[in-house]
Amino acid sequence: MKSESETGQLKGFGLKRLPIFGWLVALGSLIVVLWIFYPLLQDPRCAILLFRSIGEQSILLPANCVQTTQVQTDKMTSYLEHERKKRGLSFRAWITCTPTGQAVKPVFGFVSDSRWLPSYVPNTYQFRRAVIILPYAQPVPEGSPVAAELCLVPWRQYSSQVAGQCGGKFSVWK
Amino acid sequence: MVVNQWTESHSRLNTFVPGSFPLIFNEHQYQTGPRIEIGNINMITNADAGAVVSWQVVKQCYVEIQTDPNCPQGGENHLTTTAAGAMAGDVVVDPIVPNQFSPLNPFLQLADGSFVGTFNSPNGSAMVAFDAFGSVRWTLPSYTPQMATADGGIIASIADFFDPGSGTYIPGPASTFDASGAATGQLPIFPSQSWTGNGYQPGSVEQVAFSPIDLVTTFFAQAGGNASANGTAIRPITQDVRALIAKIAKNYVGSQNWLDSPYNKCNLFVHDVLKQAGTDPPLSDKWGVRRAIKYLEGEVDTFHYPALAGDWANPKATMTSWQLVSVPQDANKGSRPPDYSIPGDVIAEAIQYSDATGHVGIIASVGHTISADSAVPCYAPPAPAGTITDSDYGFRPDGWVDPFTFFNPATQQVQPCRTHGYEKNAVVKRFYGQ
Repeated sequence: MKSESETGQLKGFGLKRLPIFGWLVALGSLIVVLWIFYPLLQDPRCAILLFRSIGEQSILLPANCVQTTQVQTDKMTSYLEHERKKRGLSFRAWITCTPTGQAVKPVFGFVSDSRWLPSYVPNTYQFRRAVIILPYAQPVPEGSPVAAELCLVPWRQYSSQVAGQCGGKFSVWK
Repeated sequence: MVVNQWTESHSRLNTFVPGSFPLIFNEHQYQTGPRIEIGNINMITNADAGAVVSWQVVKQCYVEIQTDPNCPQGGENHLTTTAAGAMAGDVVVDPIVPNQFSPLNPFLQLADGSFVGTFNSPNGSAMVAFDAFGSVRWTLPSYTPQMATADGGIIASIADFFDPGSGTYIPGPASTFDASGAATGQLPIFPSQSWTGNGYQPGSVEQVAFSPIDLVTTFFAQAGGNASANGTAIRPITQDVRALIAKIAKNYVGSQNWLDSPYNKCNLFVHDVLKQAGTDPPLSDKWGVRRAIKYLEGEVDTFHYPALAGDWANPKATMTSWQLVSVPQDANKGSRPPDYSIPGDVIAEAIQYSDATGHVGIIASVGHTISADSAVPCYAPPAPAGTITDSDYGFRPDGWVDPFTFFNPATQQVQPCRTHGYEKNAVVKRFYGQ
């Protein structure tokens, strides 16, 4: 059984150490935040872009296509996953489409949206942190309901990417 | 070497003046045959083949009493070539104009091995082009040759003139001439030159601080030659460096050292090849924390990123020893910079990608660009994106459509694999020494 004095010491320990622990956590968090967003500190114009990149981006999809996280693994998903991992992106969702009987096939709206910038590797598009990877390398796997993969650029990578160009080519993302 | 033979005798006769006191001598000199004097020796060296020496032999008949009434007064202008430390040939060059009083004075060596220099006559100095046998091709009064250019032309200047207003000598205007001696233009300022390091080592080359002047690949491409200032004639090696860049790039075709993952590296391929060719590749203005850390760890060799495709594609970007290739004013209508490219040039296109500034590659020959190609998985599978390929990037004519296609689910259409690389969008830059 602990004596009163021991209990008092324990309480004193907790009271004294908790603020220090809190400060350390805060300092650590600050360092992490600074590490992630350091590239943007050089360019204040990136603040708005950064703020608008926090939320989800709406993606215009044809009526027969949806976003989902549950799909059967097939050659198409393996191909797209390989492409995603190569680029160091985070998985967000699959875009699947069901066949339509229409003569004119519906197209993805983002292809003609100037805010979706094409990637260096063809048939990949990016709007803020959202990246859509579509098949490009031959032969394209056939017969899969999966048409594309929606990914996210990690914050650190994203801040490096836009730093210095927020008033330039990335101004369309503001 | 026996050029010609003369016999000269020279005597002195002293006589007393009769009745003089103290005695007075009269001295009389007699000469039979000319006295020989050799002078006006001018030489330019060719570190591979030896030297070309111009010189003059003068037969003087100037003593008081010439006993030979046919003393052959006059002179001969010689042009002597040497090879491997021995004389390879000697010719007597006839005077170009009457009363020419200097031999041909070689200043520059042209691409075909012939020379441009000067000679003097009562009418003044004149520029002259001639071959090693002394055959004169053309002359041009008043000019002094300064630089031989790779297209067979010459940059020459008129002598400095005194400006009474400023009380100083003003450099004469520099003009450009083609291989036949016809004037082709004027330079606003005379090119300044400097040299660093060992002239024989690629990457340690001469600099011409003026918008592109492509010096001829000969020894003595500049008046005064000896650019290394170490007692040995050197040869401008910019062309050698360009050829080396093209050769190195070509050898990498098929390489997968610059694949696109995790990021595209077309500019890194160019950077690495330029470095292997012994040059200091240009850098971008950009740097980052990650780059800085890698630099401090010794993983990369520069603090700033290597020049990006966008830098190469920016006609106004300062690229140290790389200059923009422009279409000449007298070019055919519709000509574009890639039409005037040569092996070793860098060709680039600015493209608004989300994760890149464009594409860049190295020209191996006209119509052949070596680059880290991201489109290769579409038109030449199974090669991965970023494989080094030899393509016509930057040379594609307007209206070109890639015969290789793929089905794009985003547009529900069959589309061409490649949609860039048109000649109209290409920017070409050339190495001019550093």
